[in-house]
Amino acid sequence: MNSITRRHPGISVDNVSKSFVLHPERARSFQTLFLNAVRGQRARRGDVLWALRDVSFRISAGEAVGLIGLNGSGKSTCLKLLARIIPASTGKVAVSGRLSALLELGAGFHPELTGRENIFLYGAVLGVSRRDLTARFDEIVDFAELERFVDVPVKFYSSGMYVRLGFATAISVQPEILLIDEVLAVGDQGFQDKCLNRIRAMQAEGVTIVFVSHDLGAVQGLCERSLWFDQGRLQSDGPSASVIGDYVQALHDRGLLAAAPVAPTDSPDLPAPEIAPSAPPEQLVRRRHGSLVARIVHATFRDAVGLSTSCLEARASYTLALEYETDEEIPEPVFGFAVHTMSGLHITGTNSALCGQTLVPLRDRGLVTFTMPDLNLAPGEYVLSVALHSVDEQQAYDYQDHAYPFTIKGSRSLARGEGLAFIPGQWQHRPDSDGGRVSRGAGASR
Amino acid sequence: MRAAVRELWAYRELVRELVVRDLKLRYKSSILGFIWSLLNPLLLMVVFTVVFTVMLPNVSVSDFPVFLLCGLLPWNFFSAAVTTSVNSVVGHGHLIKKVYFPREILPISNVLANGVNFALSLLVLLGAVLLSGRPILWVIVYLPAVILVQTLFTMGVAFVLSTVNVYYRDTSIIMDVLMQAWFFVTPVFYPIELLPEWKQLLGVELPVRRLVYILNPMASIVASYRSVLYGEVDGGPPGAPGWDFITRTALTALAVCVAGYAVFRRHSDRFAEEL
Repeated sequence: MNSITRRHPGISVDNVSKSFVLHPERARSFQTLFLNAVRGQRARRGDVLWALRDVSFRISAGEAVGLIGLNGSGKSTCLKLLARIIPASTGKVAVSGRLSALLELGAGFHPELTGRENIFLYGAVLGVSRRDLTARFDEIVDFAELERFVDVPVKFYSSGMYVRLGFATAISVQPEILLIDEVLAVGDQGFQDKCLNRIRAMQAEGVTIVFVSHDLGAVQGLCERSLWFDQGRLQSDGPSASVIGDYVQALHDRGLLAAAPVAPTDSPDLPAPEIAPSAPPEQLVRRRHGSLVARIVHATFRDAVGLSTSCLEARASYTLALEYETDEEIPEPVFGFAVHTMSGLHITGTNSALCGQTLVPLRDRGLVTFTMPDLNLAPGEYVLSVALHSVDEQQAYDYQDHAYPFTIKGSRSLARGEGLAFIPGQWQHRPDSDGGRVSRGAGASR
Repeated sequence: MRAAVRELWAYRELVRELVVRDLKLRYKSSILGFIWSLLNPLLLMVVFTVVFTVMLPNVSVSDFPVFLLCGLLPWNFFSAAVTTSVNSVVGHGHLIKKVYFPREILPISNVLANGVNFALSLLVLLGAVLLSGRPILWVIVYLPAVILVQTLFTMGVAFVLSTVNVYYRDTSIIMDVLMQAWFFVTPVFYPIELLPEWKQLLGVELPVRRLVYILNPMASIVASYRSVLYGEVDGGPPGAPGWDFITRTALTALAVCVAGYAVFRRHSDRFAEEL
């Protein structure tokens, strides 16, 4: 915000276009090259795809900017241009400052090498000197929570450990500019929160952040400004709230939020939802992952009389019923759920551990319920994700992302309010008869 | 070009890390580990010595094992560096698509890792020289220069081939055959004197020996190793490399390296798209 940072813009992109040539029959071997020459053909020129067209923007030091748009809109291409991974076809990209790009966590790891060796190797790939890495080594290992495994080859790491080490090493560069491409979507919720907190702390220290994500809630939470890319063009550039609002509105107008086909699932035993009001858009891909040693075989909302339904009344009482079965005893299970809007906004979610409850070990099969005396969501369409993991989040048994669409019935507004959720509370009014004294009583009383 | 070299210097730690990684991985989970770097040339020497002194005993070269190692070890360095470098860019596609760093570091570190291995195997060669009773003379100070010239030449070849392999993947297959042919036209296991001075081919008198030297920098490099460490086939002592080595071969190697680097840089910023 001071004059120095203003004179040195972190990033400037001037009239940049980027084209890719699509090679339908690109000669990949000398054989085809030779045959083409014999037949007198010149290599056929492929179609040109303009991934970015005439894009210009500036990002000053210390700004946090979100890049949003559908798949193929050019936002990831833009990030790769900033990271110098690919060159611009025309125009000028200028980036000043030490840059770290989180395009894929742990991209440089070699499976045969230990965590320690990989920290030094990947650090060197990112341009950190061995001396600096040695100085920050403990900090990296500590953040990745891998003290016990640092001398184990990373091929034995779980995917979570791999990603944690990748993130911890990548931010050890102490970048002035941080580029993030959807990488936080991997890893468990606890680690995502930890990474986001770290990113926020870096932002507070004045690090410039460029964040590409389909998670509009995360973009809005992190970035004050957003750029919306549409078919390679910069559609809109402004405060996140209004750009995201316009973006969601445009998706609605194009029907992309209403009638996309059901995303195919590769897990045939995933129970079909009883009612499918509308399918999730592409960013809400229905996905099942985890070891499936223990499984959630059925997830439903039950009303007061115990009937399963996916069409609920706002503000009524419901129970989320999770039926499970397990192949082996699970000593410290944690059940959780999350609710997203169809546009991908994460509304709410919790799990038994966050609620401070310890569940008895799972054996064979059973039922876990979450009772909601007041289902506090506005009428509309939502999608439910459920999860079953161990209390230390090292074991992911069954994650069913965006698997259960459901509807909240009613008029378009909340019974007693507007927006997506209602905060229970009381209104009070205490007129100040003296005029000069401001009453503080109403604010302090509960 | 100058900015590129400066950036390369800034990334020198990465070169070191990659060289160390290559060497670590080479013998990881092998029982003898780095001893293979010494054992491998010894075993090869035994094989060739048996073939050329017992099975085909018409080569009259004194101290044949030493003579052979002087050619075989540099050749193995060249051959291993070139065949692995062909894939150095393509094999790191995942990295190139996700992280920026000067791409030339990949072939460079590959060649250097093979160079370190070569340096280790030179210990075997020096041991063989001592055992044979041949003198080690002051001309051995030329050895680092010869190694440097060979490394530059190898890097130039590696730059070009790793670039071509990005576009045409059969480069590595062709190179297998080509390296075999190259091995035979380089006087590794036979003395250059075995070749005729002149040979008539299609009515033209060709100076075969000179042509081998002029067209094949590896022949000249191998001859220089021999002149510094081994000496003459008839038992004569080592001497300094000929002046034509210093001028022609060194300049050729430098030119190949610079030209290869230029070719590589011309294409390297598009590697992320082509892979």
